[in-house]
Amino acid sequence: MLRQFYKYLVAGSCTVLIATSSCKKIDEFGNTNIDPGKTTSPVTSALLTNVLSTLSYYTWDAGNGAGINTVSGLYCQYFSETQYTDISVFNKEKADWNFYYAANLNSSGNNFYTNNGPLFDLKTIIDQNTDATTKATAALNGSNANQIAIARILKVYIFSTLTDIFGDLPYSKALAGDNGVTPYDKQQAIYTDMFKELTEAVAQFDGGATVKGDILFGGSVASWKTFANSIHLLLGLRLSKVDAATGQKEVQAAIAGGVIGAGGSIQMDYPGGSYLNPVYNYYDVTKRFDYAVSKTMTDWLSSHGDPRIITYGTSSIGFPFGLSRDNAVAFANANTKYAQLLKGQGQAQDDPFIILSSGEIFLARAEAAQRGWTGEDPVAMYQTGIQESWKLWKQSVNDTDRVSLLKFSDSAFNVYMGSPNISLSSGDVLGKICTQEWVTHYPAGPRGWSDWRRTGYPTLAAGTGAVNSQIPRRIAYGTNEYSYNPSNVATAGAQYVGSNGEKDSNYGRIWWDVQ
Amino acid sequence: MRKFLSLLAVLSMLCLTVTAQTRIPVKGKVLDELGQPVSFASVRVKGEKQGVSADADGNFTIRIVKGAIIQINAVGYASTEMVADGGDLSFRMKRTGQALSEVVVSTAFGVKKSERTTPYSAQVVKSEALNLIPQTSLSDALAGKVAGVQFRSQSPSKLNATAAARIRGGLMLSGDVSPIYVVDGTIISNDVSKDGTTQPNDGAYDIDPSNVETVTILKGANATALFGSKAINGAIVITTKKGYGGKSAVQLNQGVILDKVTHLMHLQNRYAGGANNYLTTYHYKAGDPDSWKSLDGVGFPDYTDDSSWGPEMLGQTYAPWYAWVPGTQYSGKSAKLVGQPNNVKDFWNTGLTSNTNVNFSKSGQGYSTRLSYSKQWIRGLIPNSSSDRNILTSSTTIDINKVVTAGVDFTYNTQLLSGDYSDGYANQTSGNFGQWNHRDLDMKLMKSLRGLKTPIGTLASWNWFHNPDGYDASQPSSFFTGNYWYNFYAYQDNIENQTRRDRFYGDAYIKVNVLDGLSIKGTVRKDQYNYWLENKVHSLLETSGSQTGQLASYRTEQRNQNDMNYELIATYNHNFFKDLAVSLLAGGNTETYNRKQLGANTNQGLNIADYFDISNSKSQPSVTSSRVNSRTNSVFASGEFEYKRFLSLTGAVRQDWSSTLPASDNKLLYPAAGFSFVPTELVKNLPSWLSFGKLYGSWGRKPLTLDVYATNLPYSLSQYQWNSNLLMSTPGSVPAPGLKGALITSYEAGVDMRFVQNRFGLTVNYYNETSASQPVQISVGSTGGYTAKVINAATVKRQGFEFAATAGIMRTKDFTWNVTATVGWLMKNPVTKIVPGTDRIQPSNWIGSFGTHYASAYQALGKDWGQLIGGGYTRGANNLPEIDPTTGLYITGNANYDWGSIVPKVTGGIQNLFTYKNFVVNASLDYQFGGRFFSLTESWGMYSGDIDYTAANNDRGKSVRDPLTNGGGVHVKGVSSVDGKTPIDTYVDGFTYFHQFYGAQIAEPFVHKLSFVKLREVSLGYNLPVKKWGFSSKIVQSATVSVVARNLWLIYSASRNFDPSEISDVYGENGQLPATRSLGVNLSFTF
Repeated sequence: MLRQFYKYLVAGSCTVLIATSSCKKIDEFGNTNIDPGKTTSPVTSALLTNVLSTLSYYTWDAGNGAGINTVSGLYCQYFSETQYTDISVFNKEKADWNFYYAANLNSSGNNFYTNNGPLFDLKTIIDQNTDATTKATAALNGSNANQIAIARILKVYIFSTLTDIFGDLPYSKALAGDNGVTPYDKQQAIYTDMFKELTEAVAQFDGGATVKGDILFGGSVASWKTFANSIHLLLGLRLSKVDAATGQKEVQAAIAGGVIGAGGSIQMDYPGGSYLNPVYNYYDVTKRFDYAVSKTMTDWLSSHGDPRIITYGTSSIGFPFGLSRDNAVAFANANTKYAQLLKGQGQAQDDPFIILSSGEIFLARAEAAQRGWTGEDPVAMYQTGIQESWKLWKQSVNDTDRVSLLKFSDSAFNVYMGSPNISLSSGDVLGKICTQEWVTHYPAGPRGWSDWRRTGYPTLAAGTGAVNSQIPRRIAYGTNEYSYNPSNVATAGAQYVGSNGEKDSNYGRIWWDVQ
Repeated sequence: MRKFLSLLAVLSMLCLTVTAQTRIPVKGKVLDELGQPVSFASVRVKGEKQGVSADADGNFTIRIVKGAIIQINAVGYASTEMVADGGDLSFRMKRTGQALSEVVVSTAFGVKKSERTTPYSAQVVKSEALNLIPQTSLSDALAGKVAGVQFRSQSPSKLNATAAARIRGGLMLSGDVSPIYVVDGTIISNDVSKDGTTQPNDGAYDIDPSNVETVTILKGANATALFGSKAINGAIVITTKKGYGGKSAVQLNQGVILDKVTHLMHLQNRYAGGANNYLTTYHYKAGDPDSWKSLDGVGFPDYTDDSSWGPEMLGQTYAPWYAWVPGTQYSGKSAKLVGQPNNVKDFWNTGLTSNTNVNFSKSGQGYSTRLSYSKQWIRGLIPNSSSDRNILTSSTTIDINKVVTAGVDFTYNTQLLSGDYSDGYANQTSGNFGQWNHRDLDMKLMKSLRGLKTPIGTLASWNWFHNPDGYDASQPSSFFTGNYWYNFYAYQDNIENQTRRDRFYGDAYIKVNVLDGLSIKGTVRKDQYNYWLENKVHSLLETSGSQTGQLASYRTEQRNQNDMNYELIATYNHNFFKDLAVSLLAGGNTETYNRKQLGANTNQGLNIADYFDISNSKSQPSVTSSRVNSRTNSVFASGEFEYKRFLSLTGAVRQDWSSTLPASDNKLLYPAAGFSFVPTELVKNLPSWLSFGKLYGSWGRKPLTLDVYATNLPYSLSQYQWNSNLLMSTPGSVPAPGLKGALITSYEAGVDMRFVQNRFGLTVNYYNETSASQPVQISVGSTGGYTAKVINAATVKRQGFEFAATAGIMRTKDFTWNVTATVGWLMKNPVTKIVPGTDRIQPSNWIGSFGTHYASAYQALGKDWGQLIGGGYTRGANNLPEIDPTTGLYITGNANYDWGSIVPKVTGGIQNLFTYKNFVVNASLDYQFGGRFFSLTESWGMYSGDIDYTAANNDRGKSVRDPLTNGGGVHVKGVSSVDGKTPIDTYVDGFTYFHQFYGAQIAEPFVHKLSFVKLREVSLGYNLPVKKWGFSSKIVQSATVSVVARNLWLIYSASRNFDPSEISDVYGENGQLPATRSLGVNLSFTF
């Protein structure tokens, strides 16, 4: 009986073991290694929305500390640091660009710094719409040509921000899906290619299906063309110091193609909730008060009687630029109502954010005309540019604030335009136009800083706490490049030498920023 | 797999029917005089050449003809024999002289083997050495006791954080990989977490040290091949206590330990808080709170800046932070401004750990059982933190009949953790004390005012948002909120974090002795882990803070994971031709792992205050989920052949098929082989002082498989839609084409000797290991479009020596003194290959906060694993730092400065055991030398003027903060940055000098060595003379009372402000919680 018992026992235990090895071959696991929470097929419309959700960051990107575009805004003294003044006293500034080229490992959430990689997303959109095996699926989200054209325009827009800040970049060989040991392209070559891309993209739109996922323009081809030409115009003008002939040619082409006209400012409409106006997000969600409107800006606005002071910040008390930390803390305590950016803590989460304003475009045309690059009337362009900017900023004044609204009135505008510091009828005409460009780009730091470097207007000085007397002219390449792409970054960095002999210096000059 | 298993089943059935014809099976057990099992005794029928070996627990089965005489031989015991009449046999062996009994080495699948035939380093730590003092974590108990293992301990303030064991330096490019912990053959997953983040070595956390009988530490591939792909970096193999000796016993242990913080940072006590070095006089103005009238004309320091660049504290009258809040005895009253040297120390509770264990064991004819229950209760050092843990462990074996044995082992651990004890940069739990603080804060007063509220209902803070002179009656919140910080106690009172963990692991098996020496064992192993956490941030914190970054929130998360193994093993032990002992093992295993996780948290605050539910999220809540599945099938075999006890050869081979590998190539085959030569068994007339000698060598390989889903390129949707538009991002990491598994190769050789009747012993072990073509996720340059890639690329090597020595220094009747010492020497640990075109990479978990500003750890080509790289001084002639001649400040640091490895070169420990009559004293000391870490806390402590250097006197006898014109300032020497050689010798104003390091990105002053020597554990025990107690001795068998201490004395530290044995992160520390010193008592009774 005993033997019977253990016979069954052993047989039974063996059966259990066999059963649990689940009647499959020893080396077959089916779909065990497919992550049930992911897909292996990208959706191009969702990639496009993801890229567009970051669009405001290319002008203002404070969130987890200052991004390069906020640093740009500090360097052209749109903003001041209120407590930790390291950037505005001109300590060495270097920055990684990971989140421009590639997504982070844990790409979740809607924070630009923990997610993203818009450039590679755009590359994926282009590939999916090009590859014979995927283009039919991709076309469910709009015609292949339209999707590619939009992706090319956005690529240029994002790359242009980067190259104007750093100089040479991994560009033509970038985004190859490799290890990122990428050679750098000369900035001149990047510019040449960006002009070509914009021209081709504008021409590429076909009459096919409207692109889905376009939270900026709702798939409007005309809007995309205008946006592309407007960027084209600004980039062409950027060559004024280094290659006026090419600059002129590109500016003419851009204007001929059709740029933003009156009332055509481009803004991102935020839904609120999970996607927030970035200023609301900064002051009301991250709850930091590191940045204020610079006293340089408020002084200029108030001394010129410019009503935009009402809407550029929460008050007319600008924060002095470039103080040492103790002086900054003392100022903040003595002036608790210093100007926070735009509406500051009063910003609504679903307020729109300006991506590119019509005023900026008209003023660029005014400058081009003044330089003799176009046959347009610089005075008219100048006048329209300022007027467009006033109209735009007037929209953010509270309807019940009659006093402020009055300052934006037509009669106030006429007084303003007639004042000797504004009027083009005398004095340094080009300087006045360029200064207005600086005022009007606000809060788009990269454009303000680029124009200051290009034109020298307005005159800016280092703050009292500065550890370097000169204002930086670029940002140095980040530590990651020195880790992962060491020889290429060393070659590129060696071109940007500061007066103290330092390579990859904040004081080296990029291609178009010639002395 | 099925084929293989069926084959085994058929084989076992066959055996069953063939045997038991002429002979009958007899079960036996070999015990010593105390009833403890004697391992690996040789069992033979008298007159026959062949026989069997008893197992490590002294059990054997032999088939005999009724009436045969059974003869037992074991090393260190007199031979004994007994007539077998068919019933179970129990042998009691007598010790002969001083000879040492067999050291039992535990290996894969619970298989135990003799030290004599072990061809690799296998240090065994016994219960007595492990439990010198009651410990809550096994790896803390092992610290300093194992050669070649660095234990990176953590502050006990971080409740139940487990020390991370780093065996022989680094091997994986991706960072540290924990060894596996194996309990009675079951691999305990390290992939668990207590608070939503996975920490290294967490597997050890669920092992109750009081249930551990022995721990065997196995390191290289030669020793761990049979464990499979989880044993990447060694295995810590645990055998739990069992019932034995035909006795019943009850043991009761109660320990109580008190923890106090120690080794705190050296902070200054000369200057008060704030950014201004003066008091501002307050002038009452209309609209200010009435209670402020009395402060008119009184000076106040700058409250808003959380630094200590304030006025010198000379006992002058001033208005403290709490004077501005009406309704207390301090309202509107000034105080004397004096330093508070003990304010940091005063913050911490005295921690209390109570450890209770009661266990019952009984064994008898055909069964053995043990049941243990432990309760650990901890009151944390951080206010409001606690841990309540209950562990139930049981182990039972039953002999169902003469050939069938069944058993169950399990541990169930349930724990509730409460409080916020996170560390990291600027943590509100108080790790900030060295970074951002006011040195004039009276902590006892802070505690008494923990609930203090302002007239607008917010919590009063020492760090007001604005100073009182800027008070605006129309907006009182611009004063009555905390700028960056809260009252430290109030913060703790308004945070509720709870984690409930439940862990079950164990095995059930049935073993059939099919033939003499042949048995088949089927085992089911399970490791189940569930946790649930809930974090609540009260709305009061949101309304009371301005830049504190705290929003009211609710977070919850659940995780359920399960690891099942089905294992079938046949073992065969037989002595052929009298002198050839053969031991064979073959088997198969199938593993299924799955893990499901679901978490949710509110976003942007709560709509209704203090209503803690996901539905109350201000904006769309975050919901995260993950599902992880994997399966592995394995077959394996091993053999051991020993000739005349002096020469043995061993070999093992295992093949895995894993779901995580590419389907086209999803198997990995890996072998191991070794020899052991024991001359003391061969040569009879060796000098009498040599008691034992062994030479051994071995080689082996073990697999590196891929992470789950590593071969996929997965696109995922953002959970948030933009007006019903989906968002998707290209993944950040891409698998390389042709990604596959790889193998680690290890060589090892050594000698093991004992002298003078085993009184002295020395083991020397050399190892050389290579891990090539590692499949690792590495960071890559983002310009390629990915930030990470999984590739087969890296090669890491390591070689070194391990020494272990024992000495019985004194052996008199009343006094004995035994010493055990270990040394691990990591000779080389180079990274010889990384990604082409790149000379360094950074594992993602090695990036520190402000990492690129200061220093963090990298893998650098051609250098040792884990280099600390960051901002060194830019140096000119004579290696002197370059200084800007106009400002006297250092120029921007050299971001690529390399301080060397983060791994200490030499680690080890010394344990002393003294007995005098009934007293027992244990002292365990450990040390390490070399290795570097970076202190972020020191860097901010300098910036904020909290650290003592910022308030010292210079070589002119004046404070470094005094004006230069009065002889103050910091003396600076270097060379001019303009030409790199002109000497500079000047003074720089202290405020400017100490602020420069962040901006100039210089980490150098904050990098220190990890070297230390520490008296870690001391216990003084007294064995109560129960035998003399008459009546009570019938109840109490033994009783011990001991006084215990932990971290008693940091004898030497290369770091002034931190205990190098407790550095929180791999590259350094980020505002970590302080070291502690513990004292306690322990009572132990056996009934």
